[in-house]
Amino acid sequence: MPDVKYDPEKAIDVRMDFDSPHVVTYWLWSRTAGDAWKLLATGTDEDAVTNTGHQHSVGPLEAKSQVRIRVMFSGNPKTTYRACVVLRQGRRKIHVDEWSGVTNSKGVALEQDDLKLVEPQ
Amino acid sequence: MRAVTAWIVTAIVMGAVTREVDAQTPYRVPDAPAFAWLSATPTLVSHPTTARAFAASLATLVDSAGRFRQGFALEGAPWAWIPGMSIPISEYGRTRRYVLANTTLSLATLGGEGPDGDADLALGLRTTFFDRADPMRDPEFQGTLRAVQAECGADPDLARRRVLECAEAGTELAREEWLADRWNASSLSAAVVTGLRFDDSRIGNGRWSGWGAWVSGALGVGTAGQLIVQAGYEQRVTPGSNEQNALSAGSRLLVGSSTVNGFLEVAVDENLQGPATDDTTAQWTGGIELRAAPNLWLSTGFGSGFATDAADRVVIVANLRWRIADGPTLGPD
Repeated sequence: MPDVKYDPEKAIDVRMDFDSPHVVTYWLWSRTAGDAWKLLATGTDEDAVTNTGHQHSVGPLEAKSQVRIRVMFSGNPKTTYRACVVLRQGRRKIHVDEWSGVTNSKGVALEQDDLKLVEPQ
Repeated sequence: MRAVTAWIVTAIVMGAVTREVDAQTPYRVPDAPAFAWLSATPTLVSHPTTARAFAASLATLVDSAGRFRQGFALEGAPWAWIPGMSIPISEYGRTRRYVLANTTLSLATLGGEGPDGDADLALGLRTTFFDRADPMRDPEFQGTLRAVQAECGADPDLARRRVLECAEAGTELAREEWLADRWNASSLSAAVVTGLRFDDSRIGNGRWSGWGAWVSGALGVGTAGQLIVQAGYEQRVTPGSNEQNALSAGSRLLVGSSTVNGFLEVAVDENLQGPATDDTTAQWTGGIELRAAPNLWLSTGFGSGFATDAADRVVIVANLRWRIADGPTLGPD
């Protein structure tokens, strides 16, 4: 689980872009140690704020929170999917996920990333 | 009744043991024209999905001595290698975007005997111009998939494998239901390929070795019929021997449903120029087909073309010869 340096006083802006001809649903959860996952944001490709983009502002999140990002793609079998997730605080990028691949024989792909938010030393 | 029972038992038994094969008849538009040109079925195929991955794959095509590596195989969608290119599902139905999204490039090499053997290289493009049986064009089907995703992915504690299994099952069911009413939809696909031969596999010793093209069209006729026309052409150039020009074409009329149909087909193979200049064969076949399971078709028929060369297996049940294959001889691409 990669560490992501962040400022616990500020909200995190999450920007997602889905650039391939697939139906997409995404979820963002967070939790602190020992707690259950709490849903921060969810949406589908239909909810785009631009042609392909999705924007959420979450937090501020407690120090040492974990964040789980899950993105599911459904479409034709063995087709190329592509997505990008960027986490920012202000103008600073604190994390980027660039996902691409080929859907399986059923036409499905799943990407998931777990992050650990840490304060800069 | 006994015959029907025997058929069902046979279908179940054969279904359990029939392997899934990629039936490449001369009439079908191949998924990867480069592999078809080389008659290769590579087990390790690179599927680059970014420009960087595509460049990295190409870098492995030639070794440091300037020779083509044998057994190279690449297949991918060129749109994904164009920086900044985006084809969201909301634009998938637009003709240009649709064609771009459904265009694939294939590249492969095949080596001759020994370390200094010649290398054959093939480069192919395949595209679908339109396909009314593509469910991803349908907003209603897209909505069904979103519902499947919402159901399968909303639990953060569910293991990744379980989430995928749930989504796969839901997606497959939704697709089968959607296609059941559209089995005879119209479509048009085509592919081209060109070949090069490199003496001693050296990149500077290349010469053209031919080209090929395939086209496949399906036209829905009412709610229970479909007319399929498919053709393929190949010109192969081999030094020291005559040029090989071959044309294969087939047409099939289907009447029935997605699981049972009657068919009538004609197929023509012609050697247009070559050692055997008068080498034309024409066949016709009629019969019935039953889909016992996905990728398992049983057919019985009559006519000069009811050969079993396209079949995985042949069984005799109820005094009829049944051809078993993973798909119809001529089917929509």
